[in-house]
Amino acid sequence: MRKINLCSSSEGTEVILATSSDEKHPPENIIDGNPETFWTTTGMFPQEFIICFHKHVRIERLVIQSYFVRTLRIEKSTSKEPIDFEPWIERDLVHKEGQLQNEEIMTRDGHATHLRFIIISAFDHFASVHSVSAEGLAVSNLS
Amino acid sequence: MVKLAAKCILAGDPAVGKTALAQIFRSDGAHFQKNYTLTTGVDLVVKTVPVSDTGDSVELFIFDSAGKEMFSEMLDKLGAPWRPHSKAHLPLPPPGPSLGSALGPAHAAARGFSGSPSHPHRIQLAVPSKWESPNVLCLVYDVTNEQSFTNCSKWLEKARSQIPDTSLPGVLVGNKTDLAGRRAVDSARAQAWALGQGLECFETSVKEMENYEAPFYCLAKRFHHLYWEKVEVFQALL
Ligand SMILES: Nc1nc2c(ncn2[C@@H]2O[C@H](COP(=O)(O)OP(=O)(O)O)[C@@H](O)[C@H]2O)c(=O)[nH]1
Ligand SMILES: [Mg+2]
Repeated sequence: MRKINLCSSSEGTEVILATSSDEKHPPENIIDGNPETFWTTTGMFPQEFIICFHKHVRIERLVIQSYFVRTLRIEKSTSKEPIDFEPWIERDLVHKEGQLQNEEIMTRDGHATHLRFIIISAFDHFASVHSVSAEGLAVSNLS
Repeated sequence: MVKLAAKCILAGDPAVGKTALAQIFRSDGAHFQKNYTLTTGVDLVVKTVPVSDTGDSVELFIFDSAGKEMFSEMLDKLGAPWRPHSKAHLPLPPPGPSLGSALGPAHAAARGFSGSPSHPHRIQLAVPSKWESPNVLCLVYDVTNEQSFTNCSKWLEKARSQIPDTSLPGVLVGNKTDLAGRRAVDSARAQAWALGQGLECFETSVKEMENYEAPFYCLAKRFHHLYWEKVEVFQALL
């Protein structure tokens, strides 16, 4: 088994829910492999999106590129459906003017089928997420 | 086409007409209640406002001040990190499907507010965080009450201190212009102060149903403008 970016639309991964959407900056931009494109929040916090791998994966490392995100909570599920999310990671990010946030997280217990990203608070009225990548292994298909 | 969502806080002295303003805006001028009782909890009015010359709109979540909120209480909070504490003395919210959406507006944006996003709602609920994380500010005074005007700077300070490093678009609204003979604050003075504070200035008479929409349309427009500014920032990052 080789390590791949599990959060890639070319791997069949999808963003199945986002609480905000500007059709010019849709949530698909988070996993299109291009950090120039982004998803924007369009209102009050919290805001969230859910990534579905359509298979069982084991994540070893996460990288989130964003702007103006203050507190980020990540939950994961190992169910076939996007339910039964359990708390996994919570981070307070730093903000540097004009600089993309690049949050790297070495993960433990990274078995998942879905990830739920909740932006609890932000440094401004709006925040953007440019990319999420998850390095790890595809374990098995959903039965 | 994008639909933004903004938390709008109504601030100002008691009895200047905040509740009357929010309610007439909610009901599109259908009625003006003369003997308005003071609000006891936190009132939330949700209404979608189109942004002219764009296909876009802003859903305003207007948080009305609790009636008991007094200026002296407010002064105690300034200087110290302000924590919402009103939960304890507010009545419990009635259970209702809208409550979750009101508290977690993100969910409203995802699926439409209670299934009918364009319909204005009025819900009574206990929100511990009336002042927390405002997006826009509607600052109201009574043109016949000098003190209510001078207190505006304190209300503004309180609102801005909630998001200290972020700009807070706001409007200043002088209400009760129908009481012309009792006017104590002239327009030019209010305008000069508002200008200095970066607020846009309006005069209304809720009683005469005059100009009550303009402040909210202005707030929606300014929030929308802010959104485009931020999107440009996001675009310029790489
Ligand atoms: N004459 C006049 N009275 C008003 C106007 N707007 C509100 N009022 C009255 O002012 C009083 C206080 O209004 P209310 O909305 O409860 O003020 P709040 O405490 O700021 O929410 C009530 O008796 C209202 O009927 C107005 O435009 N003209
Ligand atoms: Mg009131």
